[in-house]
Amino acid sequence: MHLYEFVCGIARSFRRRGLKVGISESIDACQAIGLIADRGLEDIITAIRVTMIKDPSKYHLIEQAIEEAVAGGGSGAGEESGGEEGAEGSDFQTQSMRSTRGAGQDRDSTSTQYVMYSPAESLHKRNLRPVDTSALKTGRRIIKRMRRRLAVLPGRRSHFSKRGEIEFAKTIRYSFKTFGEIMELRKSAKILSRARLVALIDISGSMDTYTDWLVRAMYLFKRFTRRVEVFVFSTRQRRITELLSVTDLEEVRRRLSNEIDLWGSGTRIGYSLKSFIDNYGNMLNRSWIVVIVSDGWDTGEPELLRMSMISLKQRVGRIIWLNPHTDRPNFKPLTIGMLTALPHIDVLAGLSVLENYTSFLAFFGKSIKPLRRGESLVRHKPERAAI
Amino acid sequence: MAKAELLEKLTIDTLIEKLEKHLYVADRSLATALYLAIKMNKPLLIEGEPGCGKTEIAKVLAEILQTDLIRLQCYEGLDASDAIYEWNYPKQLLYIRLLENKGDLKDVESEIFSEKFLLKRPLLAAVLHEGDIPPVLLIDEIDRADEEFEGFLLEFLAEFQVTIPEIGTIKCKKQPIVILTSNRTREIGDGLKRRCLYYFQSYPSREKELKILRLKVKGLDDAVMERIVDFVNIVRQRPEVSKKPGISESLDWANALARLSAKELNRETVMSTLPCIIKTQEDLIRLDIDSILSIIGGKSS
Repeated sequence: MHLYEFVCGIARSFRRRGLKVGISESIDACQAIGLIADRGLEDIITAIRVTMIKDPSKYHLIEQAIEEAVAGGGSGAGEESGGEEGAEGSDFQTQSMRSTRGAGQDRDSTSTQYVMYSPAESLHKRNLRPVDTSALKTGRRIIKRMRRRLAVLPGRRSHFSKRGEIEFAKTIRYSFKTFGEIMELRKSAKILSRARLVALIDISGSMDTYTDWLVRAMYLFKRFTRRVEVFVFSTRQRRITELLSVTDLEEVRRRLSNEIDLWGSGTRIGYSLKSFIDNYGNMLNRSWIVVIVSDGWDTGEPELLRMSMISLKQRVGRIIWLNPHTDRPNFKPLTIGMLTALPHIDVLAGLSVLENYTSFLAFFGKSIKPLRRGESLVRHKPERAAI
Repeated sequence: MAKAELLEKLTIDTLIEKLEKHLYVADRSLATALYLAIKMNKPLLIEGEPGCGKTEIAKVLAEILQTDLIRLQCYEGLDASDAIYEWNYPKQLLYIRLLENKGDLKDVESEIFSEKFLLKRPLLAAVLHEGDIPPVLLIDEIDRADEEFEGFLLEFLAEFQVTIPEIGTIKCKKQPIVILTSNRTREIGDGLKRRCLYYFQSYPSREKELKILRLKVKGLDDAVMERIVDFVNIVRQRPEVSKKPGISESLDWANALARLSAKELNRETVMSTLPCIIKTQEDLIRLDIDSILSIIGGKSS
């Protein structure tokens, strides 16, 4: 088999499993294999790995891809089948078939398609209804205000500050007033205006009523600031940041319908948080704000939730908890999940904060200045007025 | 051997050999990735847990190739002026004052915007490097830099040239060997990943870690080293530990025990030296040392 055929077969095999392997990667792989003198299998695998796979969690696909390429299984396969590797550990069966109008109606009828399925994947996917966009305008405005209120990081803008750093350019410009004689050193400091956000959104069965809100919230949170990560969880958690990287809300809805298989499942908040910390704990530090959207109904171990909350609190700047029941007049945090998490939360608010400006002000305060470090806005007294 | 010849005759096997001579124990896969990065003139992005030798590999490579290591440490807010060049404003001001006193301000503009008032930052230094062998440019912890800087790097890594408006465009004569490292505190953009070869450096196997300790730590019994490696491996698997120790922490710990002439790993020695591998107060409180000691004690017996 020719080297080019071999590499192309591997590239096709990777693409079928959802890896982004372009022409440039294939060219690099050909060049890399060509450079290896004795071409032992181990070196070839390394060459393919360093040039074509940029995600270590996909390394396990390589041997299967080589087998397919050697057996010629990769030839004739559709380049853009849109296949996606599914849940970890689940077995997939792959069927090659000529395109017929059916499941993939919008695809090119002349291309060969690969249909991948897994019993685990298809169980909880949900065809979400079109989302009501009327509340988006207010939502965007509130998100802007929330960003300012939760800011912990200096932004690009600076203001005059005696304790700031010397600005040479400003000093020179200021000296023009005194005919070029420097009379005063101008100093400035950056204004706090940014934050990083991780949103962990509960999409279990108990949150079913709020699905419409949840989709809007995912969309809005992704636009909170530049560094945003969005995760959904029920019995396990999944990162969905990439699914939200489009501006069209309808496309976001479609992606969430097709890709997420956790809708309406049970809730294991503690386990999901722990899994999040284990996998993404490295990225967290005091400049991150964590927003958890959940009603606090947890079927998992309360101790695990407590440990996870402690661990999360140690790592991040602020924890905001949005609970749909908090909007109710006589709300009391009585669920095990809420009682366990409450001591570690900085702001506890209802879902109405993203839709109603008055509600936002009630929960987050009227000030436009960033919250002070350690300032808590948890007001969970039973007699608190309804919003 | 002439320097250029050294680069020419480099093979994967000789690279492994040379890395080991410079006290760096590398897997064949890492050596292959390095070899390909050098031969293909492509940047190598190494991702992995902190303290697993990502930065060290660039240092050792520069030593092996007998060339300069130019390091750009990334941090939040890093911008092009910190990475490429900056005009030396205080020096320019002083120079203008000097010329004012002399009363000679004729060619002041062309003079103050010349190379002698230029502060060369790492990327410009790499472009202007002159030598038989290109320098090793280490762009360390790229995940700490902002996405804007990552976007800027895309252009630099494609063209390997720098444009200074007052001077013009400077293109490098020999493309530097670029190594980027990331601790995965955030996802690196697809664009940058596609321009680089990619290698993931995970925690080493028990055997490899033991080999590293034997190579780098002197004056410690082999049995103690084995127990250190076992202990650290168990700590890495413990969910209650938030900051997992890397190889550098294992080395620090082994060196500390060697300085203390420790003959065995018992509760006392562990308690007095544990901060070498555990870096937060909470982890120190939560870690059940006795249970780990009983596990590794059982293993060694």
